[in-house]
Amino acid sequence: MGPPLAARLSRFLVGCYPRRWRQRFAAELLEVLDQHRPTARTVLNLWAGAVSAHLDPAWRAGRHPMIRLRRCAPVLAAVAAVLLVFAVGFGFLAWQDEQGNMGPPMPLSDGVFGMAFSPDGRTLASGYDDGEVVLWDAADPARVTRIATLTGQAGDITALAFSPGGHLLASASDGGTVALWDIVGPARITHLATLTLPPPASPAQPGPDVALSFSPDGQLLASANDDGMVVLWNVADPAQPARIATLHPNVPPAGPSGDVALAFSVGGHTLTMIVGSSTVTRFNVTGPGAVTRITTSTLSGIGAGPVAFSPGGRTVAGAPAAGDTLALSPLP
Amino acid sequence: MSEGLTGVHGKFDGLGRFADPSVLILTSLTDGPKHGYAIMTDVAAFSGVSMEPGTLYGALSRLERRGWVRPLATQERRRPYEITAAGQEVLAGQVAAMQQIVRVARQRTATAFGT
Repeated sequence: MGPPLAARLSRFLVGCYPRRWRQRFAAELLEVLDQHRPTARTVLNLWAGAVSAHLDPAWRAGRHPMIRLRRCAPVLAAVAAVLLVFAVGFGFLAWQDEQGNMGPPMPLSDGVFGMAFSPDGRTLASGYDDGEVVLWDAADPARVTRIATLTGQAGDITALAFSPGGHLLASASDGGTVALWDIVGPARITHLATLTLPPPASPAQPGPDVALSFSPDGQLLASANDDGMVVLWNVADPAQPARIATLHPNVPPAGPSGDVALAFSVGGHTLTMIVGSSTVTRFNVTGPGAVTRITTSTLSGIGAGPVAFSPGGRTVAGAPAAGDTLALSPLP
Repeated sequence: MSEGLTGVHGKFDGLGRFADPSVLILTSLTDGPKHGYAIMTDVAAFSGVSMEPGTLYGALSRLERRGWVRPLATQERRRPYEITAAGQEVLAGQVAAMQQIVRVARQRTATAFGT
């Protein structure tokens, strides 16, 4: 806005003040404007001053207050329109910010029950206590955006796993189901199948913890409950998964704070499960339908809290349920 | 619109949010009557706050209505204002409150940053 235009608009806006206000102050104000170099800021400031003087009952004219206002209405409206454009712009930016925000839909403290990164590290899946799974584009950690929300599974999402190729997502809920999703394209995410887990051996256990692991070739999906039950599915055709084995080694179930973890070896021939942070069971997986238990051993010293395997299951990390130490232990 | 952010007093403009225009005007009038433009330049000089005419006259009209400033006779289209006894009392109260804030802020920043 050039100075002559700002000066002209400023003088015009002085005329937009209430009549009684102008009778008292207009001459002085115009004199000050002559000495001041008006800018766009001056214009906005006078506009705000005129509006607030009109709202002030002390300056309200005794009669026909709308006559003055009507003459000034186009200018007041034009400035209001400019402000509106700015407000909408800022609102849009804030909204875009919101889209990149990790916060919604639930606070992390009581909502997220499971998380997993895709093999290429570009997608993060988070599971919530209302059965929803949200996929996030995390390629740029500074600008995480929501790709999709997967709904329809009953219960709390307790575990998530991506297939090694990254095109399948398995989500386990404490309602005893595992859902398989085709996530190749964000635009066409489809629900492929729902697998039903056998009921836990100890029904008193509230919502069982579940661990999921795909075999390295992506043909098998294994799930383990915290009472040590392992189920294997053939997911070569993920739209028609077939249960191929249910194994229930007699292991002590995980305690209330205990965890269950599951990992295939790099070659895919061995499946390792750790229950209650101490009981390690190995299975030989020679092929679909040929799964046998190899050993069950006890591991000590990794605490009684959550556990996690390194890829391939050679090392296990554990944490005491309460405390701030972590323990790493190689597996035989 | 951006002049206030890049001008000479730009880095002090944030003060406008903390220092009420009424306090700045009353302070300016304490050492003698001044007309509108003189108040603006004086306030800018002692506080760094560049007050726009709309803000100045909005505040002046409220101060006059409350009886804290009094308009004097116009001289060459410029009207000087002087602070009243009531205005001096109000300013003293405001300054005391600000001093209390400054005192606590000094103590706490000294505790926090050792300055």
